[in-house]
Amino acid sequence: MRKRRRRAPSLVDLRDADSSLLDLVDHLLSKGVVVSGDLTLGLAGVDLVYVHLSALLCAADLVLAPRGRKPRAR
Amino acid sequence: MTGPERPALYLYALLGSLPPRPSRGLRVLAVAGLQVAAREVHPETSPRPTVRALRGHDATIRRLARGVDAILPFRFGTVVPGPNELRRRLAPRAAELRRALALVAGREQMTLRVFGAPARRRRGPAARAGGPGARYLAARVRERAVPEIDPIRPAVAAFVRAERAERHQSPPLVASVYHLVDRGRSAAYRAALRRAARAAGGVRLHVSGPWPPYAFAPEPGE
Repeated sequence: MRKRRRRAPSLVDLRDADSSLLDLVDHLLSKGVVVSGDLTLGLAGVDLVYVHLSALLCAADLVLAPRGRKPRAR
Repeated sequence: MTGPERPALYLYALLGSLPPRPSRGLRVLAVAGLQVAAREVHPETSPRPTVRALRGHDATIRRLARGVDAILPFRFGTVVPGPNELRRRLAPRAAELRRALALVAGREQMTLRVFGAPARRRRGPAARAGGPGARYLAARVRERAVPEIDPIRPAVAAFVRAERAERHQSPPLVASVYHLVDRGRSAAYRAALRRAARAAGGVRLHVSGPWPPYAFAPEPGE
């Protein structure tokens, strides 16, 4: 008998604080009013954060919607 | 002999009005016709983007947002040497910042991450015609267009007051889309999105919010 494969959900709603942490990182480190000049201090390693952020977002997509299963409750 | 060091200012947000109660440790400065929420910090403060610091910053922004109609957060980690330097930096941009505050007044942000296969995009005649300026603008529009979510746009159009978007070069993450919605309408926006998402044609959406309008600050030179 052929196993029916469920479709991945088309919408994942990130309501809990943990799953939207990546959005928090994106909003605070790459958005917001920038005042001209070199006034953002002490953000060593932020470039690395930018590099990895999209990779982490992709990973979140895999974890949160693995082949149609709901994310596991913690 | 050197005198006591003057404190620097850690900037949180531009406000559309004075908050009813000043938050503990925060100052609201009037600068170039703008209200700036800031905290005095040691001049050599070097904010580190730890999870705790990011959450604390976001909590402060949200607390401020509850007391005012319009708020535009500064980027995390912004420290200026003092009020005079702050004035020098903000004054030339005061008009555009006031326009941005007017846009976000009474509104908040929903964030959409779009995953899936990128839509095939054709370069229209506008992309090839015109001078370098017109071609640059056409390319800029193309860079920010997200046709992958066109099927869901009609369902959320009634809620969306403004949109910012950026495409990503890291599949399967196709794009990030930031929608500005009226405060208190995020649940209705979510419900409309949920109903429409099935029509998104293989694209998966992650939605979060409501957020303060982090993505609606004017870009330098905008």
